[in-house]
Amino acid sequence: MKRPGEDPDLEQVFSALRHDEQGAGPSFAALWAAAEAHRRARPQRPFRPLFLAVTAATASLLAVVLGLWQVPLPKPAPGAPAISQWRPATDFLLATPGRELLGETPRLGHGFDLATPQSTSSTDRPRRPS
Amino acid sequence: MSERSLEQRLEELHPAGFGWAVQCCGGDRQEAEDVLQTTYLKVLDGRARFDGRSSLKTWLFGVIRRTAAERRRAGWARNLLSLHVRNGHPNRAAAPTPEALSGEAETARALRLALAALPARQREVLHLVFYQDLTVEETAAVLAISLGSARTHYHRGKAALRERLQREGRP
Repeated sequence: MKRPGEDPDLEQVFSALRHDEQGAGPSFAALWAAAEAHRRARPQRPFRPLFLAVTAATASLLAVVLGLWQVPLPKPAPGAPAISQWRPATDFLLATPGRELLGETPRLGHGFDLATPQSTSSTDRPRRPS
Repeated sequence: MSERSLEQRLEELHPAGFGWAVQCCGGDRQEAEDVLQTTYLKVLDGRARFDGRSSLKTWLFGVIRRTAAERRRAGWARNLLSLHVRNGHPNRAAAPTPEALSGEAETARALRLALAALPARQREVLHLVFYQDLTVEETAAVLAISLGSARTHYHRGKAALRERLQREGRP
Protein backbone atom coordinates (compact mmCIF):
# COMPACT_ATOMS: atom_id res chain seq x y z
CA MET A 1 0.00 0.00 0.00
CA LYS A 2 2.53 2.58 1.12
CA ARG A 3 5.58 2.66 -1.11
CA PRO A 4 8.89 4.11 0.12
CA GLY A 5 9.37 7.59 -1.27
CA GLU A 6 5.75 7.98 -2.22
CA ASP A 7 5.16 10.80 0.25
CA PRO A 8 8.59 12.32 0.93
CA ASP A 9 7.14 15.48 2.43
CA LEU A 10 5.18 13.62 5.07
CA GLU A 11 8.00 11.15 5.73
CA GLN A 12 10.30 14.09 6.42
CA VAL A 13 8.06 15.81 8.94
CA PHE A 14 7.27 12.55 10.73
CA SER A 15 10.98 11.76 10.89
CA ALA A 16 11.53 15.09 12.65
CA LEU A 17 8.76 14.27 15.10
CA ARG A 18 10.27 10.83 15.75
CA HIS A 19 13.68 12.28 16.56
CA ASP A 20 12.14 14.92 18.78
CA GLU A 21 10.01 12.52 20.80
CA GLN A 22 12.07 9.38 21.09
CA GLY A 23 15.23 11.14 22.16
CA ALA A 24 13.60 12.36 25.36
CA GLY A 25 11.68 9.19 26.22
CA PRO A 26 12.08 7.14 29.41
CA SER A 27 14.53 4.26 29.48
CA PHE A 28 13.24 0.73 29.02
CA ALA A 29 15.13 -0.52 32.06
CA ALA A 30 13.45 2.00 34.35
CA LEU A 31 9.92 1.20 33.20
CA TRP A 32 10.53 -2.58 33.16
CA ALA A 33 11.99 -2.50 36.68
CA ALA A 34 9.06 -0.41 37.91
CA ALA A 35 6.62 -2.88 36.37
CA GLU A 36 8.42 -5.83 38.02
CA ALA A 37 8.39 -4.08 41.39
CA HIS A 38 4.69 -3.38 40.99
CA ARG A 39 4.03 -7.03 40.18
CA ARG A 40 5.91 -8.23 43.26
CA ALA A 41 4.00 -5.77 45.44
CA ARG A 42 0.60 -7.01 44.24
CA PRO A 43 -1.09 -9.92 46.00
CA GLN A 44 -0.85 -13.21 44.17
CA ARG A 45 -3.84 -14.32 42.14
CA PRO A 46 -5.61 -17.50 43.27
CA PHE A 47 -4.14 -20.72 41.96
CA ARG A 48 -6.08 -21.24 38.75
CA PRO A 49 -6.08 -25.09 38.52
CA LEU A 50 -7.29 -25.37 42.10
CA PHE A 51 -9.99 -22.82 41.41
CA LEU A 52 -11.11 -24.74 38.31
CA ALA A 53 -11.14 -28.06 40.21
CA VAL A 54 -13.29 -26.65 42.99
CA THR A 55 -15.70 -25.13 40.48
CA ALA A 56 -15.98 -28.42 38.55
CA ALA A 57 -16.57 -30.42 41.76
CA THR A 58 -19.31 -28.04 42.86
CA ALA A 59 -21.01 -28.23 39.47
CA SER A 60 -20.84 -32.05 39.49
CA LEU A 61 -22.30 -32.24 42.99
CA LEU A 62 -25.10 -29.92 42.01
CA ALA A 63 -25.89 -32.04 38.93
CA VAL A 64 -25.99 -35.24 41.00
CA VAL A 65 -28.26 -33.69 43.63
CA LEU A 66 -30.64 -32.36 40.98
CA GLY A 67 -30.62 -35.73 39.16
CA LEU A 68 -31.46 -37.73 42.29
CA TRP A 69 -34.07 -35.37 43.52
CA GLN A 70 -37.41 -36.45 42.07
CA VAL A 71 -40.58 -34.49 42.40
CA PRO A 72 -43.36 -36.82 43.74
CA LEU A 73 -46.24 -37.07 41.26
CA PRO A 74 -49.70 -36.24 42.64
CA LYS A 75 -51.79 -39.35 43.24
CA PRO A 76 -55.05 -39.64 41.20
CA ALA A 77 -58.29 -39.22 43.04
CA PRO A 78 -60.12 -42.49 43.84
CA GLY A 79 -62.67 -43.40 41.16
CA ALA A 80 -61.18 -41.10 38.51
CA PRO A 81 -60.71 -42.72 35.05
CA ALA A 82 -57.22 -43.51 33.83
CA ILE A 83 -55.84 -41.10 31.26
CA SER A 84 -55.51 -43.92 28.68
CA GLN A 85 -59.23 -44.64 28.88
CA TRP A 86 -60.53 -41.15 28.95
CA ARG A 87 -62.48 -39.85 25.94
CA PRO A 88 -63.52 -36.29 25.37
CA ALA A 89 -67.18 -35.46 25.19
CA THR A 90 -66.91 -34.41 21.53
CA ASP A 91 -65.11 -37.58 20.43
CA PHE A 92 -68.17 -38.74 18.44
CA LEU A 93 -67.73 -35.80 16.05
CA LEU A 94 -64.57 -37.42 14.71
CA ALA A 95 -66.39 -40.68 13.87
CA THR A 96 -67.17 -39.64 10.27
CA PRO A 97 -68.51 -42.09 7.67
CA GLY A 98 -65.79 -43.87 5.69
CA ARG A 99 -63.19 -43.26 8.36
CA GLU A 100 -62.26 -46.94 8.14
CA LEU A 101 -60.89 -46.39 4.62
CA LEU A 102 -58.09 -44.30 6.05
CA GLY A 103 -57.07 -46.90 8.58
CA GLU A 104 -55.56 -49.47 6.17
CA THR A 105 -53.62 -49.61 2.94
CA PRO A 106 -55.76 -50.51 -0.10
CA ARG A 107 -54.79 -53.77 -1.93
CA LEU A 108 -55.66 -54.89 -5.40
CA GLY A 109 -58.34 -57.56 -5.54
CA HIS A 110 -59.52 -57.01 -1.99
CA GLY A 111 -62.29 -54.85 -0.82
CA PHE A 112 -62.47 -52.92 2.38
CA ASP A 113 -63.84 -54.57 5.42
CA LEU A 114 -66.82 -52.30 5.82
CA ALA A 115 -69.92 -52.94 7.76
CA THR A 116 -72.01 -52.99 4.56
CA PRO A 117 -71.78 -56.17 2.47
CA GLN A 118 -69.33 -56.05 -0.46
CA SER A 119 -70.45 -57.01 -3.94
CA THR A 120 -67.30 -56.44 -5.95
CA SER A 121 -66.82 -60.09 -6.93
CA SER A 122 -67.76 -60.93 -10.52
CA THR A 123 -69.70 -63.98 -9.36
CA ASP A 124 -72.00 -61.87 -7.25
CA ARG A 125 -72.93 -59.55 -10.11
CA PRO A 126 -76.30 -60.12 -11.72
CA ARG A 127 -75.78 -61.77 -15.07
CA ARG A 128 -76.81 -59.94 -18.14
CA PRO A 129 -79.41 -61.88 -19.99
CA SER A 130 -77.86 -63.35 -23.12
CA MET B 1 9.42 -17.23 23.11
CA SER B 2 11.23 -17.21 26.45
CA GLU B 3 10.74 -14.44 28.95
CA ARG B 4 14.29 -13.23 28.45
CA SER B 5 14.05 -13.04 24.65
CA LEU B 6 10.66 -11.36 24.94
CA GLU B 7 12.20 -8.77 27.22
CA GLN B 8 14.97 -8.15 24.69
CA ARG B 9 12.51 -7.74 21.84
CA LEU B 10 10.42 -5.36 23.94
CA GLU B 11 13.52 -3.34 24.69
CA GLU B 12 14.21 -3.01 20.97
CA LEU B 13 10.64 -1.85 20.41
CA HIS B 14 10.64 0.46 23.44
CA PRO B 15 11.33 3.79 21.63
CA ALA B 16 8.65 3.05 19.02
CA GLY B 17 6.29 1.89 21.75
CA PHE B 18 6.80 5.12 23.67
CA GLY B 19 6.09 7.16 20.54
CA TRP B 20 2.85 5.24 20.01
CA ALA B 21 1.93 5.61 23.68
CA VAL B 22 2.43 9.39 23.41
CA GLN B 23 0.13 9.38 20.40
CA CYS B 24 -2.49 7.30 22.22
CA CYS B 25 -2.34 9.70 25.18
CA GLY B 26 -2.89 12.82 23.09
CA GLY B 27 0.69 14.05 23.53
CA ASP B 28 0.80 13.61 27.32
CA ARG B 29 4.27 12.15 27.95
CA GLN B 30 3.74 11.45 31.64
CA GLU B 31 0.57 9.54 30.90
CA ALA B 32 2.37 7.73 28.08
CA GLU B 33 5.04 6.54 30.54
CA ASP B 34 2.32 5.22 32.86
CA VAL B 35 0.61 3.48 29.96
CA LEU B 36 3.85 1.86 28.86
CA GLN B 37 4.65 0.71 32.40
CA THR B 38 1.15 -0.76 32.74
CA THR B 39 1.66 -2.50 29.42
CA TYR B 40 4.90 -4.08 30.66
CA LEU B 41 3.12 -5.10 33.86
CA LYS B 42 0.44 -6.83 31.79
CA VAL B 43 3.15 -8.72 29.93
CA LEU B 44 4.86 -9.72 33.18
CA ASP B 45 1.78 -11.00 34.99
CA GLY B 46 0.33 -12.72 31.93
CA ARG B 47 -2.66 -10.49 31.29
CA ALA B 48 -1.18 -9.81 27.85
CA ARG B 49 0.23 -12.86 26.07
CA PHE B 50 1.91 -12.88 22.68
CA ASP B 51 0.53 -15.87 20.78
CA GLY B 52 2.41 -15.31 17.52
CA ARG B 53 -0.66 -14.62 15.39
CA SER B 54 0.80 -11.27 14.35
CA SER B 55 4.17 -9.59 14.57
CA LEU B 56 5.37 -8.66 18.04
CA LYS B 57 5.24 -4.98 17.14
CA THR B 58 1.62 -5.18 15.98
CA TRP B 59 0.65 -7.08 19.14
CA LEU B 60 2.52 -4.69 21.44
CA PHE B 61 0.94 -1.65 19.83
CA GLY B 62 -2.49 -3.21 20.23
CA VAL B 63 -1.85 -3.75 23.95
CA ILE B 64 -0.62 -0.16 24.34
CA ARG B 65 -3.70 1.19 22.56
CA ARG B 66 -6.08 -0.83 24.77
CA THR B 67 -4.20 0.11 27.93
CA ALA B 68 -4.36 3.81 27.05
CA ALA B 69 -8.09 3.49 26.38
CA GLU B 70 -8.64 1.71 29.73
CA ARG B 71 -6.75 4.39 31.61
CA ARG B 72 -8.64 7.10 29.77
CA ARG B 73 -11.97 5.52 30.72
CA ALA B 74 -10.83 5.11 34.32
CA GLY B 75 -9.76 8.76 34.33
CA TRP B 76 -13.16 9.86 33.08
CA ALA B 77 -14.83 7.82 35.80
CA ARG B 78 -12.56 9.37 38.45
CA ASN B 79 -13.29 12.84 37.10
CA LEU B 80 -17.00 12.21 37.19
CA LEU B 81 -16.80 10.97 40.77
CA SER B 82 -14.66 13.82 42.00
CA LEU B 83 -16.27 16.44 39.74
CA HIS B 84 -12.77 17.35 38.73
CA VAL B 85 -12.55 19.38 35.53
CA ARG B 86 -9.32 19.16 33.60
CA ASN B 87 -7.91 22.22 31.95
CA GLY B 88 -7.31 22.08 28.22
CA HIS B 89 -8.30 19.55 25.60
CA PRO B 90 -6.97 16.05 26.32
CA ASN B 91 -6.19 15.38 22.67
CA ARG B 92 -4.24 18.54 22.16
CA ALA B 93 -0.51 18.19 21.65
CA ALA B 94 1.67 19.13 24.58
CA ALA B 95 2.96 22.67 24.48
CA PRO B 96 6.60 22.75 23.39
CA THR B 97 9.30 24.19 25.56
CA PRO B 98 10.81 27.46 24.25
CA GLU B 99 14.30 26.02 23.90
CA ALA B 100 13.02 23.27 21.63
CA LEU B 101 11.56 25.66 19.09
CA SER B 102 14.28 25.41 16.47
CA GLY B 103 14.80 23.39 13.31
CA GLU B 104 13.59 19.86 13.73
CA ALA B 105 11.77 20.70 16.92
CA GLU B 106 9.87 23.45 15.15
CA THR B 107 8.85 21.04 12.39
CA ALA B 108 7.76 18.53 15.02
CA ARG B 109 5.72 21.19 16.78
CA ALA B 110 3.98 22.17 13.56
CA LEU B 111 3.22 18.55 12.82
CA ARG B 112 1.81 17.98 16.31
CA LEU B 113 -0.52 20.93 15.90
CA ALA B 114 -1.62 19.78 12.45
CA LEU B 115 -2.18 16.22 13.69
CA ALA B 116 -4.12 17.44 16.70
CA ALA B 117 -6.64 19.06 14.38
CA LEU B 118 -7.33 15.81 12.51
CA PRO B 119 -9.95 13.26 13.53
CA ALA B 120 -8.53 10.73 15.98
CA ARG B 121 -8.70 7.76 13.61
CA GLN B 122 -6.88 9.58 10.81
CA ARG B 123 -4.24 10.74 13.30
CA GLU B 124 -3.68 7.19 14.54
CA VAL B 125 -3.43 5.74 11.03
CA LEU B 126 -0.94 8.38 9.87
CA HIS B 127 1.14 7.92 12.99
CA LEU B 128 1.35 4.16 12.57
CA VAL B 129 2.18 4.36 8.86
CA PHE B 130 4.61 7.29 8.78
CA TYR B 131 5.99 7.40 12.32
CA GLN B 132 6.10 3.67 13.02
CA ASP B 133 6.64 2.47 9.44
CA LEU B 134 3.83 -0.06 9.65
CA THR B 135 1.99 -1.13 6.54
CA VAL B 136 -1.66 -0.20 6.21
CA GLU B 137 -2.53 -3.87 6.78
CA GLU B 138 -0.59 -3.90 10.07
CA THR B 139 -2.17 -0.58 11.00
CA ALA B 140 -5.63 -2.06 10.50
CA ALA B 141 -4.65 -4.97 12.78
CA VAL B 142 -3.36 -2.66 15.54
CA LEU B 143 -6.49 -0.51 15.46
CA ALA B 144 -8.81 -3.51 15.08
CA ILE B 145 -10.51 -2.03 12.02
CA SER B 146 -11.03 -3.34 8.50
CA LEU B 147 -8.40 -2.87 5.83
CA GLY B 148 -10.79 -0.84 3.71
CA SER B 149 -11.51 1.49 6.60
CA ALA B 150 -7.79 1.90 7.31
CA ARG B 151 -7.14 2.77 3.64
CA THR B 152 -9.88 5.36 3.69
CA HIS B 153 -8.50 7.00 6.84
CA TYR B 154 -5.00 6.85 5.35
CA HIS B 155 -5.90 8.70 2.13
CA ARG B 156 -8.19 11.25 3.75
CA GLY B 157 -5.70 11.81 6.56
CA LYS B 158 -2.84 12.46 4.16
CA ALA B 159 -4.87 15.01 2.22
CA ALA B 160 -6.06 16.77 5.37
CA LEU B 161 -2.58 16.83 6.92
CA ARG B 162 -0.99 18.27 3.76
CA GLU B 163 -3.61 20.98 3.65
CA ARG B 164 -3.00 21.93 7.27
CA LEU B 165 0.79 21.88 6.92
CA GLN B 166 0.66 24.02 3.78
CA ARG B 167 -1.61 26.48 5.58
CA GLU B 168 1.12 26.86 8.20
CA GLY B 169 3.82 27.23 5.56
CA ARG B 170 5.23 23.72 5.99
CA PRO B 171 5.95 21.31 3.10
